[in-house]
Amino acid sequence: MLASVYLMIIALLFGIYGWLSSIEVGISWLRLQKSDVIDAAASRRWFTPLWEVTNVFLVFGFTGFAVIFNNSLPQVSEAVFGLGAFAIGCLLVRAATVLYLYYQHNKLGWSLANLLFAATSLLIPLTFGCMGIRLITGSSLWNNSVGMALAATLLLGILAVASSFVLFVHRPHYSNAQRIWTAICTVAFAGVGTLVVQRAIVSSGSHLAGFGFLAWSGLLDFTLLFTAAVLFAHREQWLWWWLSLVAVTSPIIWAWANRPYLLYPGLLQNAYGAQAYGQAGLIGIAIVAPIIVVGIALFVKLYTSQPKSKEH
Amino acid sequence: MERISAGRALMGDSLAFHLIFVIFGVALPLLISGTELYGIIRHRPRARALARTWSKALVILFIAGAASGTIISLQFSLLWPNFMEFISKTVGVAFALEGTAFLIEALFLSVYMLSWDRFSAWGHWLCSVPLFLSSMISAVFITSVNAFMNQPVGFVLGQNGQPTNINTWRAITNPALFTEVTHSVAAYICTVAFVFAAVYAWLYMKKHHSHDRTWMRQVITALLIIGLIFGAITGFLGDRSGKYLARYEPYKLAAAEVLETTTGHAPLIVGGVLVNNQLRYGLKVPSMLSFLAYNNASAEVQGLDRVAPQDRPPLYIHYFFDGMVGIGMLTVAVPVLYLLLYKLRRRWALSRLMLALVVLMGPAAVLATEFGWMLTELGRQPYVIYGYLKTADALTANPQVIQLAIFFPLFFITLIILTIVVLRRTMNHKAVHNAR
Repeated sequence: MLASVYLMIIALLFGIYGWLSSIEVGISWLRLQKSDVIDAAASRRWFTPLWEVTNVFLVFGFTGFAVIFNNSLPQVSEAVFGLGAFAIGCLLVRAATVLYLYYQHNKLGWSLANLLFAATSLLIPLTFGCMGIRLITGSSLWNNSVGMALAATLLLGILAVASSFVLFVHRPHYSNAQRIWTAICTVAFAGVGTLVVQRAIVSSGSHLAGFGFLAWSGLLDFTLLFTAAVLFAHREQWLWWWLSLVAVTSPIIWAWANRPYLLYPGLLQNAYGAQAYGQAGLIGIAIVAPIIVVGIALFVKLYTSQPKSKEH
Repeated sequence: MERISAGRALMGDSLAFHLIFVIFGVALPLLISGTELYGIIRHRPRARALARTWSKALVILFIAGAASGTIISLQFSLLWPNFMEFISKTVGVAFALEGTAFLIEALFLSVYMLSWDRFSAWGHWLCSVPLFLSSMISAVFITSVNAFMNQPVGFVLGQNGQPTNINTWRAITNPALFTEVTHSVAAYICTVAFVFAAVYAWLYMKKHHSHDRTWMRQVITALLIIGLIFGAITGFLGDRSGKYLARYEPYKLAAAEVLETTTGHAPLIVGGVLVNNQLRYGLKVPSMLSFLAYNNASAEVQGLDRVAPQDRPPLYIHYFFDGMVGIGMLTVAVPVLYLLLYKLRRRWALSRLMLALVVLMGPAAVLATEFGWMLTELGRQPYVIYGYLKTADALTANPQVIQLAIFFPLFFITLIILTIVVLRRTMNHKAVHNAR
């Protein structure tokens, strides 16, 4: 029971990180636009060093996973070593790029630094997502149809959240071409998810075809219909909230679908190695949670109500 | 390059790089909060402006620190899975608590930065309280993991080589905890004070701010007083650490002092060069090691003869020990000299020679902290968890470690150069000017 609770908490942390890093992809797209095309002040507003604090969700999620499921660490480390090393490289390049861009007075447009920022911003969540896919499929990503279909959905999902974020914060400057791009990403994301992944999982007889999988398919089916509806009603910003919800909940649903396994076919219960402090840890989380909620609330309030003159 | 050497080199590079940001991440929030509080109580807007300038530097250091911290957390699990398995079972909760404190620190850093000019003075200062408290708590928990690696207690080793009958609280509050936490945190505060004093001394020497010179003198003097206080505290706690080492980690002390044979009236050797594992040309102070270790000049100090040859730490840690202690003494001597001159011959205190000495103390203080951690880590080798898990057994079997060890230092060097460039921009004369 404790193992499942912790797995859901860790999946939620990765969901939040995935959502935030998909927003980063959107921010990197804003930076690639020339300042006469977009509202430069608004795009710079989102490029702030304070955004880097979002990395804590990754640290928290990854450390939490290692600490709680320590019995499986040798196997997990071996399985995701290559992807993990690549992710570390991307994190380093991204950090260097962010520092450089901050130094460069937030210069917008097509430059190597902005391109590197965009590429690494996309590759980081994609790589971490692929690590998750590696765990739930139990084999190398390129050796099974389910893994490849899930990776494709993940990529489209990140692009869909990023596009809808740009639409959300930059709506007055959004061109019809960009609207169509958002719609394509969202429809493709939902379409690939519901058709290709479903078919791959069912035809391969994968263990993932459980309740969690049905819930995930349901979310994507709804996304498909929802996209059509909001496009019809010209309420594109609703997509942003809906896709955010899908991004945050997807890791939870997949982790749920993967039960009773962790690194397939290794059992979740066997991976759990925090017997000495598992219950105390949950009490600790409950005690600290209000402080974190207050901090987040203060941050959101201050950030969203920034005076215009302070945007730089 | 062998796999184990590559793993060690990679982790050593990463930790040495990350430590620079840890120093600032732990000590700077306290310094900023203290400066802002001083500004509010004494009605000194300049002090508040100074805290604001420093908080901008903290954000830049936080970007690089968050990146390197994220990388370290990934490396622990990917490179050292057997170590993480062992440590997670026993003191894993300390990792989780450190992560929680880090999350709170990150949140309140954002709140603190966004609320300048938007909250009342006291309201804004209050936001710095969770910021510096969480940074300190974070340091305590992560240091407790390292202390456990030096003094693993609170469990019984099972048949399968894994810990059983675990008492997490006892494991976290191990005998090494108090000395390690207090000594390192005091050293961080001392280091940050010296680094900032060095920056302002450099700017003063460059004569960029003819209108600010009185204010800058005050800042340099105040920072050197803080450096002196915490340098002295670090020295006192260092003496406590030495006594702790003699009692709990005698092998480390023996290697640091290249003491081959267990003996009473053990000498302290200052300096020297290692030739074929023999220390030569060092200055020998008779009975001093016995006195420092046990407050008794005739006390017996354990030598390396009590440790099996294959379990002995590398003797080159003697250099780190001497380097740390030597610079540690300078953190007291240089401010004392400066303050005496400032009182008696102010022109001499502000001479280029004296200011150059203050400038040099900035990187020297960082180096001393690095030396201290190298002594701690290398002095425990060949074990990663003393007596239970050897470093070679903790490493992943993946051969790609070698490639990573070659490429990653290049990334780290790039990142640190960019951090320094951006910090220079933030702390340039405009920033100082704004502090007027």
